[in-house]
Amino acid sequence: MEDAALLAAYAGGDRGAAALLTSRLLPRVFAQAMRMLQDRAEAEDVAQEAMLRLWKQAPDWRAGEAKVSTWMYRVTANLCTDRLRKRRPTEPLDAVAEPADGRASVLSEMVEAERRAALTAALGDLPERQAQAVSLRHLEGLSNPEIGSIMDMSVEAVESLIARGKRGLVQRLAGRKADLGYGNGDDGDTG
Amino acid sequence: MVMMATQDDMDGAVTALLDALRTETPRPSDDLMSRVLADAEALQPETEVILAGPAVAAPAADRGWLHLIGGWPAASGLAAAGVMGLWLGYAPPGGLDGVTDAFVGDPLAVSWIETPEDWLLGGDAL
Repeated sequence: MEDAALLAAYAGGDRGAAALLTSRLLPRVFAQAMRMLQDRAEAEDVAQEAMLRLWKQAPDWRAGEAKVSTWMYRVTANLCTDRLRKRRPTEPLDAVAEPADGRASVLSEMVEAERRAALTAALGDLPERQAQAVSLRHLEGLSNPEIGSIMDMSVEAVESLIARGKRGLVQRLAGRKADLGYGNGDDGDTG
Repeated sequence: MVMMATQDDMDGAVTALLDALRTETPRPSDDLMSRVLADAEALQPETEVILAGPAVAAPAADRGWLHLIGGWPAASGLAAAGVMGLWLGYAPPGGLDGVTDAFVGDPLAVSWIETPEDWLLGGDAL
């Protein structure tokens, strides 16, 4: 059964529809939030809020106007960018204590964590639409037409947003190149 | 040229980081699933309705209207007034005495019967 039909069933009082929709949608929503926020607690809050909005929307959902998945991507992306903009700036790397034994693996984990934090901070600094377009393209792997449906814009507009957003990320992270372990024989490989 | 190469290197590094994050598929916790389901249950449109008492037992053809009346909370005066108008039109003879019973009768769980939206109070869901 399609998501929209399940949602209608839920709105009609079908108790089982909610469980089925949750098992189907929540993993996707949570994963999207985690990839964008890199913080489990915040991702859970966003995922719960996104699903809450779906339950509230159910009685008014008009089948055929939009796919449930498209709507969920949009709501989740909006909630995530709201969270990113409210975050405080991340601490510089030298403020993070080094591990006592200096094991290379632990240090590389710290560097990796710092890179992720820097990326989400840079996403939060971007204009909201750029951050969403870049996330949907590069973190969710969606096509430009799919992103256009989610963000209600043309493919050309999506491409422009992604290009500008990516440049914005690079510019913001380039300023922390040394901090993030880039450009000293480390090409950024995380494997 | 060195700076351009550096910018390209950063572009590649950012792309690599984004690609790495894209492959991750973290799973929601059981606790999160439970909370989401609890929200769904709390927000699901009302399906339990209040049946009128025996004094207003209606023929099968009218049972849908009685179920609707029984479903409104007793305190919802406006809804009750609106519903009452339709109920009165369908009430069996002598059914007026059962109107009060319809609002204070014992609740019983029954299947929801679809009702036109223009009957219902309420604004936008979101």
